[in-house]
Amino acid sequence: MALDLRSDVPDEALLVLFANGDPEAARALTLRLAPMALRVAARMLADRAEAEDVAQEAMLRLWRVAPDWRQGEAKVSTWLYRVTSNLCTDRLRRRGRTVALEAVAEPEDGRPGAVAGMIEADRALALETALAALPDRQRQAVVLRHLEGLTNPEIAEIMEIGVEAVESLTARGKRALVAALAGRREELGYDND
Amino acid sequence: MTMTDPQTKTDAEIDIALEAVFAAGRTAAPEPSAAFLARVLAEAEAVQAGFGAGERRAAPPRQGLWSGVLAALGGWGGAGGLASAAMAGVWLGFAGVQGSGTLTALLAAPDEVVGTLELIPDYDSFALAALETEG
Repeated sequence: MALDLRSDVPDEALLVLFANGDPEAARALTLRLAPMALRVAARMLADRAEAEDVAQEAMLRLWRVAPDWRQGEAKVSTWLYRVTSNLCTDRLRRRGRTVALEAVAEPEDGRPGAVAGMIEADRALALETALAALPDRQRQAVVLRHLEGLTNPEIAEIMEIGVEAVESLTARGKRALVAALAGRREELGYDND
Repeated sequence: MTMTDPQTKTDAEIDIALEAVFAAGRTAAPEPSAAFLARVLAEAEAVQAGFGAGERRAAPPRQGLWSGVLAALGGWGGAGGLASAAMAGVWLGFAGVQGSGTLTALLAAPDEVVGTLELIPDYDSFALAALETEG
């Protein structure tokens, strides 16, 4: 059976197989981890092309570190989340500020049904726009917690901060999101007060 | 449900307010294209091929003890030189039983001393030789 179909094989074992030259391990890790890196990068950068560049770079670093990977030190996914996030932060710094808001497409207004029953894609787009306005660290914490579904201790390890700091970042980030989305509650299909 | 006055909301109310938006965000996760995955996999294979090349470079060559020794001596040329030196040593050792133990004593003409070279310079022979030459 192909390794990518065997979810019982942990990433760390696949990485050892990869380092030993197993081509199936390369394929399995690509299918398992590259989408994850792309998701995080896309949500951090709000730019698909740049996100692909970052995810590819993060995966390349994983391939290169494979022979020196020390078992038991960190999960491969945690390592990849950290590398991807750091690469995104570097990109954002080079841009000068956070996500280019103009890069996030605005939902189309005025079309039928836009107010009452906004479709899920529009909610996602509104979220993307609101996320783009957050400070980098808040956005990173919110993305990892609420879109990637990681636990606070996992995020703390990825961001190399304490759990309490993670909680603070996500709490502030979410309040900012609510504030940003408040003016669009009708668009997003929420009931009024 | 309301999304107004976020500063006055509890954390639980904030979570409820954002629940549907986060759910939509998770559903709309960007999917990798086949081209992107192909690029990542191509790099994986290229790096993996490098591991193999590195191992081949780093692996000790398949050779016997004597070929390793030969290599350490600098190949056949070095080994030949060593063999010559060894034979000369045997000969000098044999000849030295009767002589003074110096190369000069063995090779130089008795009336034409140009210097002294001891194979084992345990005495101050070089200084002595210099004095003899100057004198």
